[in-house]
Order: sequence, then structure tokens, then C-alpha cells
Amino acid sequence: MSNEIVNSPILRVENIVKRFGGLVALNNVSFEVREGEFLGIIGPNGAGKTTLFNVITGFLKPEQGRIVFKGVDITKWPVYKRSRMGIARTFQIMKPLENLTVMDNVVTAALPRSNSVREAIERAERSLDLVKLLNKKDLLARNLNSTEKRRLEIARALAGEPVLLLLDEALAGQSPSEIDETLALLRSIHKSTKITIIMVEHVMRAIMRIAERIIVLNYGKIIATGTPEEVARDPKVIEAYLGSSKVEVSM
Amino acid sequence: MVGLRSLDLKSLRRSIDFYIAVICFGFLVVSPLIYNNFFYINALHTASVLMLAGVAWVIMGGYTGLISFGHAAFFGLGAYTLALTYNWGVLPWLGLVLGGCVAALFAAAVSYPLLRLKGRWFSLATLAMAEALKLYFNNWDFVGGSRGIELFRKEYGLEWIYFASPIYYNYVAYAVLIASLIVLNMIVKSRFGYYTQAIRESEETAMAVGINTFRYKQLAMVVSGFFTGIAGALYTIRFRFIDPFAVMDFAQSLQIIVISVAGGIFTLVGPIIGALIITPIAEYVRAVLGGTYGAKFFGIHMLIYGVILLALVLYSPGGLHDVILKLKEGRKRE
Repeated sequence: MSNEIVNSPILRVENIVKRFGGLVALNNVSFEVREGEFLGIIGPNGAGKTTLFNVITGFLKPEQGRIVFKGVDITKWPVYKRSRMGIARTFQIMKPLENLTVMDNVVTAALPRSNSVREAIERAERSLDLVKLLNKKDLLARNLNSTEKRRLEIARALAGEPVLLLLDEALAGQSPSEIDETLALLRSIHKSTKITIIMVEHVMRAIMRIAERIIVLNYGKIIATGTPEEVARDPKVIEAYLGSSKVEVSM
Repeated sequence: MVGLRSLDLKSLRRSIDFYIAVICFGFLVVSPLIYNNFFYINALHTASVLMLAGVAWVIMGGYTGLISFGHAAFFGLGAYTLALTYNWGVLPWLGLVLGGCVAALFAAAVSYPLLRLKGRWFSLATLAMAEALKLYFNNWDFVGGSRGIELFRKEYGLEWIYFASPIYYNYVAYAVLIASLIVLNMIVKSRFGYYTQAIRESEETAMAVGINTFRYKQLAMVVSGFFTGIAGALYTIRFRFIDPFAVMDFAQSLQIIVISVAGGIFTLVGPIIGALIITPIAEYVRAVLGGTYGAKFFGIHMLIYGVILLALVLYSPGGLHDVILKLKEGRKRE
């Protein structure tokens, strides 16, 4: 893995162990993310993908291991401090501020990393424009449909101009054409902002098309790492997804 | 309908709120000049004190989602601070601010244990906090215990806020209320307003975007405590006698909640509308039908409170403010 590192790692996940009672949700997980990389994390249900995001963003504290962001050990930091340092996320189960307008949702997200409300409003407008929601800015968030809510989550995460963006199943519940649209959007954001993106995804076909490198989790352990093509050929990955290595699969 | 309701709701509300406030204040100032009745003027004074406490309550209950059943504690601390300092020779204008400060300090102190609790447990703990403080004051000789405190200095004039005619107390209350509203409006339009509303809607999202949710909940309590304390001090300067059961009782907290919920808790003008409409009705009903113990309809004003609240909660959870918005939108559509 280390010979792949060209740029300095922006995020280092070191030997993370997270237990829920008797269940080991993350079992000694270590990896690095380079600055500007587009990393995909896949794995079957219950593999520990969302738990990993919660540990990186601080919603959960690991029993063992360290999270190092921009060279700083942030393992014990509260959520809001990590966010201010530039880690943004979307939620798998969407949590928009339902009774606020779309605009206010994004302004709120921009504010902690802005010097004034005015600056936050400008950032929010740019961010909404990017996800093509600017024409809905005065609607209450609860009146958006689920695809629009997913895009609002992305706009909110981008509003603070983060360094690292964690997308938790941002494609869930979208039709194939909407997925194409969102992927194009993510690609253009990645290109134009040079932001580092980690994307957890269920839709294999989609993540294979966009991620530069993929990590496969199963039962809380990393079972494979590599380019989308390498991972797709890996027998351990095929077994994890289909339950048997004897089945022939072409990706 | 849904689409229409959400259509540009915000800018509509912004302008409407301003006009509602102007109309309410116009009514508060002008109506006593036309209907110059001692009882009526008193009811309006009570209403304006409740408005200030309600607007402060809304900062916690409406903006931040921290439902408090214990605002009588802040109200009472403001009331007692003014009474004590007044008798020590401190000008009441300073006493008003000091009352706010003592209540705010108390809010800051109790926020540490209280904010460890969530939802209804928080609300119940605020109730316990206020009741405990009331009983403590009831047995504390320094503040007069159950005998209470009377303002003994009798020096007429604006300086000591002591008047022969009750209407002047109303104008003092209005002035303090307007000044507080201007400050609070600035506060909710700032970072604070965005952050607290985010906390109300989803604490997880608030944290994820970088908001120190504990710190802002604490700030909401301090701001709310401060202005409720000022309301308590305004009450004292008018009635000139207080005891723990007059200013720190649960009934006080309940009144503040009732007018806020009735008017609408998601906007600063909510409690203004609520107090303006409910207080005179309640006071009138109490005086005419069942004011004193043993009267035929003793306690009937509480029944009226209950019926009004029930109707509003059922048909318009956003309070009277929401009713006004709906009327306005209905007219726009035609």
C-alpha cells in the first residue's frame, strides 16, 4: 500500500478497533488517504462502513487506535472541532434541518468556517449552485424530494469548503439516470476543488466508475485494497459479496 | 397547498412579523388613552411583562428546542435582585440590568447539570430546579423568607420608577420591552440564531457542520435567563411587593409558556401576540367570574387558558402567528 503514496497522506487511520458489546464492528483497521484522492469503501451490509465514518468524524470513539488528520492526532477531538478543521460528511440516513429553508440549511453549515453571515451566504449560494438547487433555495427542506435532499446533504457538506469530504451512500435511492447525474457532479467537484473524497457505497457499479482506489471491508476487517479492476477480480471480494468463491463473476 | 405554503415563506414572514409588532405596540400605547380604566391598564402591564418573559422563553423553547418548565426561577431571581438593590439605594434602572445578570449567571451555573439531560428529562429538571429555588427563598431570612420583600423607598419620579398614576409603569415596561426586542432580534439574526435552530432541528447535523452544540445551548439559556430576569424586575417595580409564591411559583412558568405557545414559539413576535390576546381575556374572566377563593367559578380563567391552548395546539401548532400567516396567504391566493 505504501508504495502507492505519491502525495503526503491527509488522513491516517491506524489500528482502529471499535466494539459494540460483544460485536467487533471494526477490527484493527488501518489505511491512509492521499491528498486529493477519491477513495471508495465498499463491503456487504454490516461490514462496518458507517461505523468507520463515525469514528473518523468523531461520532464514535474507538477502543483502540488513532485517527491522524493533517498530521494532528484527532482521536479524542469532539465532532465539531474535527468539522472546523475541514472534515465534512453526509449522513446515510439524511438529517436535513427540516423546518429551515434550503438556503438556511446551507448557510448554517457554512457559518462555522466563515467570518461573517454575509460570507456564509455567498458560500452557500455557490454550494447550492454547484448541486443545482439554487432555484429551490427558499423552500423548506422538508418539502424537497429524496433526490433533492441527497443533493442538499452534499451542498451542506461542501458549504464549509472542507478539505476532506465523507459521503455515506450519497447515491442511495436514486434512479440510474440520477446516479449518472450525481456522479458527474461529484467528478466535477473533485476536479475543480481538489478536495479529498471518501465515498462509502452500496451501488458497486457506480463506485467502480468513479473511485481511484477502493478498500473492501468485511466483518470489520479490510480484505482487499486496490484499483477498481484489481478489487473486482479479487476472489476474497467475490466471496464476501456472493458467499462462495466457486461462482464465476465478471465485473 | 403544501407547495404554496412553502413558497417564499421566509421573506413573507419577515415583513409580516415587523408589521405585527408595530400593530401590537400601537395597540399597547394607544388603547389605554381611549379606554382609561385602572383595571385594563394593569392587565396590559401584566401582558407586557409576560411578553418579555415569553420572548426570552422562545429563545430556548422555540429557537433551540429546550423546553423549560422552570422560567419562574429566572423571573424570580430578577424580581428579588431588583427588590434588594432598590432597598439598598441602587437606582432601579441599574437594578433591571442587575436582575437580568443574576438570572443569567444562575442560568449559566445550572446549565452544566441540566444540559446533561435531553428532551422531557431536561424539562422536568427545570421544573424541579425552579421549585427547589422557590422553597429555598421561602426559608431564607436574608430575602425575607415567606414574608417577602416590600420596596420601601417612596420617591416619586422616573429616576426611582415610582408613579402615582399606573399608566407610567406601562410606558416604562414598553420601553424596556422594545429595547429588549431590538437586541434579541439582532441576536437571532446573527450566527446564534442559525446555530440554535440547527440544534433544534438535528443536533447531529449541527455537530457535523462544526457547531459546538453544548456551548450554544448554554448561551441560549444565558440569554433567555437574562431577559426573563429583566421581566421579573419589571414586575417588581410595578407591584412593589414580592414573595416566593408570587414570582417563583410554577404558575408563573406556566403563564409564560401559555402565552408563548398560544402566540407561536418560532418567532419573536409570537409571545407578543399571545400575551396581548390572552392576558386581558384571562384577567377579565378572573375578575368577573372567579377571582377569589370561594367565588362561584373560582379558577375559571385556568379553564379558559386550557380551552384556548387546546384549540390552538389542535388546529394551529404554530400558534396565532401561524393563523395570521395562513389568513394572509389565503388572501394572496384569491
